[in-house]
Amino acid sequence: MSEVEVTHATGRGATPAAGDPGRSRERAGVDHMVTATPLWFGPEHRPLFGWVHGPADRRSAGAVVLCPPLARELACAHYTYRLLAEELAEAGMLAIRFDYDGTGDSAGSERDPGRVAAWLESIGEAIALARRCGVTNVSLVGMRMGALLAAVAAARQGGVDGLVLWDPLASGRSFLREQSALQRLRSDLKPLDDGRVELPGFVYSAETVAELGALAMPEPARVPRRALVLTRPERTPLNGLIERLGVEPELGEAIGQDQLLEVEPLYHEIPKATSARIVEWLGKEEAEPRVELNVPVRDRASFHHDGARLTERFVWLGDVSMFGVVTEPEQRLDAPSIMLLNAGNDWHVGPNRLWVDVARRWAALGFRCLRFDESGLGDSPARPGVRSHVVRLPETFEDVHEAQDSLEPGDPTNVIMVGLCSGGYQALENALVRPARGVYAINPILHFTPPELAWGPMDPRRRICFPSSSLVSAYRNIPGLAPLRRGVRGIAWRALRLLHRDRDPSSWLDELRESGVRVLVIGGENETRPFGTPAGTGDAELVQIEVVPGLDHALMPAWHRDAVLQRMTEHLVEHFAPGAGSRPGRPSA
Amino acid sequence: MREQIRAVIAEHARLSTPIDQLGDDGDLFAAGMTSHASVNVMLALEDAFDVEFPEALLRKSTFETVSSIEAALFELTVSV
Repeated sequence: MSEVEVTHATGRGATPAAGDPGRSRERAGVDHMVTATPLWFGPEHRPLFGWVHGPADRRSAGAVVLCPPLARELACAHYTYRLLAEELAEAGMLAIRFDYDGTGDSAGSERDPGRVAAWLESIGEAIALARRCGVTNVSLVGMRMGALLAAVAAARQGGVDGLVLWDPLASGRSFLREQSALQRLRSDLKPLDDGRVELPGFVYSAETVAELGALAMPEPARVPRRALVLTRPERTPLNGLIERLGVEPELGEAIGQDQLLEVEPLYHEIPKATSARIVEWLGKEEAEPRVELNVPVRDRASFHHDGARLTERFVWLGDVSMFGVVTEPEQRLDAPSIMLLNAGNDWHVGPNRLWVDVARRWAALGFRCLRFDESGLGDSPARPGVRSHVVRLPETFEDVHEAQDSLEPGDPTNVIMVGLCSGGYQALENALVRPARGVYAINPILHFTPPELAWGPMDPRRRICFPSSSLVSAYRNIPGLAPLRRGVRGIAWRALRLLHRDRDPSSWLDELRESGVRVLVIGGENETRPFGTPAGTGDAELVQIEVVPGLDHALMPAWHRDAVLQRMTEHLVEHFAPGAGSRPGRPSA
Repeated sequence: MREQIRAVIAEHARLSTPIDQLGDDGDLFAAGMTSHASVNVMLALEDAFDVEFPEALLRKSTFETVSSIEAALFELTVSV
C-alpha cells in the first residue's frame, strides 16, 4: 500500500509528489497524459476532500472549479465529473473536483447545522485552492444544485471568469420538492413529522430545509465575465435565474441529463456531448499566459468523529494504483481491518455515503477501515485493455485480493469485507477464493449476467453466481407476467437451485464455515430468497442470514440505513472486538 | 382536463405502452412509468394546471392512473 510521500500541507506550494502515479488515459488512439492529485484542503479541523487535475506539463492559463450536485444526484454525476475534469486537463486547464463540507469524503455530515453556508464556503475554499495553485483566472461549473450554489457563490464572491450552469435548479425549494417527491413516490414513505425532509438516500434537518427554502439566485452583486446556461427544454422554467446572472449568457441544451440522473445507476450514460461542449466553451477564451502550477499536497487529515480523533489518509492499491482512503483511530484495536467494496458503480463513499459513515463510526470504535474504488470505478483507473465503469468484471477478484494484500500484508486474510448488492456478492465470492475473517453482505445479488459472457465463458472463479439465461431475461421482461412472477418467486428460486446444485448456497456457505469465515447476510425478502434455509454443518452460528422485511435494495430510506448499520455494528463489536466472548477461529491462509 | 392529463403523460411518463392504448384506469407504473418519470409528470401537471400537489397527495396511488390523477387535480382545482 503506497502512500503519497509528502507530509502535511504547510501552505507551501509543491508539485504533485513523488509517488503520485498521476493518471493516464488513452482515447482516440492518442495518449493524453494528465495529472490527478487527491488532497485535503480548507480548514484544518474540518478538512474538505478534492482532486486537482492538470495538464502533464504542469502549466495552465485557467482553472475550473467543478461544483457537484447534492444528495443522490451527486452519486449519479460523480464519474461524469471525473471524466470532465480529465478532459479539461487534457485541454490545458486546471480542474478541481471537490466534495462540499459534510458530503463525499469531506469531514462532517448532512445532519450538521449550517449546511447551505458551509456548502457556499466550500466553493470559496475550492476557488482559493485554485488560486494557491498559481492560477488567477477561475471559472465555475455546476450541475443541478451545484449550478445554483455556483451562481450564488459567484454573485457573492465575485472574481469569477466563466460560469457554466448545467441543468440548473431555479431554487433550493425546487430541489427539495423534486427530491422529496421522488423519495415519496419511490417508496410510498410517510413524510417525517418533525420538520426534517427525506430525500432519496439522505435526510435534511428542519434547519437545512428552511435554509434551502430561502436559497435563490440573488440580485447580481458581482457579475461573471461570461456564462453558459444548458437546460432541459422539458423542465420547469428557471424563474428569473438567467435574468439575475447580470450577464447575457450563451444558451444551450443539457443533452442526456435524463439518462444520467433518471435511470438506475447501473444503466446511466455519461452525457459526453454536453461535457465536450463545456470543455470547448471554457477553453475558447484562454487569454492569460500559461503559468506553472504548484499544487499544495496534503494527503492526510485529522478530525473528531463520535468523540474520537481520527486520521484519514490516501492509499494506492495494487498493480494499477487503485485509489482508497484509510480511516484510523489514534489507538487501533488488535482486530481485523475493514474493507468496504463498491456497490454497483457508486464510488468509494458507498451507497448514500454509507461507507463514510461506517468507516468513521467503526474507526471511532478502534477498527481500521479502507474504502476504495475497484479498477475502472469511481476514482480508480481501469486495468490496461479493460473498459471503465463496468460492474462485476472478473478483474474485481484481483482488485479485492490486491487490496487485501496491501491492507494486511502480513496476513491478507485478516480482513472483514463489507459490500452491498454487487459488493456483497463479490465479498462472498472472494472469501471462497481466499478466506477472510468475516463477510458482511447486504442485499447481495447472486442472479445476474456476468459481463464476460458477452465475449466468452463465465470466469471459473464465480462459484455462487446463478447466471441469467435468455429464457430468464424474457420471463423477467414480459410486462404481463409481473403478477405471476410475484406469486412464484419462491418456486422459481427452488427450481434454479436444483438446476445449479453446485452453486447452491448451502454448499458454499458450509465451505465458508469450514474456513472459519464469519458471514452475516442482511437483506430483504427477495435478496435473501436464494439462500433458502441453509442447514449447515459445524458452527451454525458462524453464518447468519437475516431477513429485514421490506428492506430497500439500495437502502434509500433512512431507517433502512440506520437498521443495517446498527446490526452490523452490533455484530462487529460482539465478534471482532478483542475481549468479545466468541471469536472465530483463524482461517487457514 | 382528461385530454390535457393524457398529453402531459405522453410527453413525460416515458411509457413502454403508448398512452392511447391505455384506458383511464390503466396502471401507469405497470406500463413502464418510473418513479423519476412520475415526478416529471407531477411537475408538468403543476405547470399545466397551475396547482401544487400537497404532501398528502405525494404518494404512488395519486399518479397510478389517468383517473386517479384527474381526481386529485379535481380536488385541488375545486378547493383553490
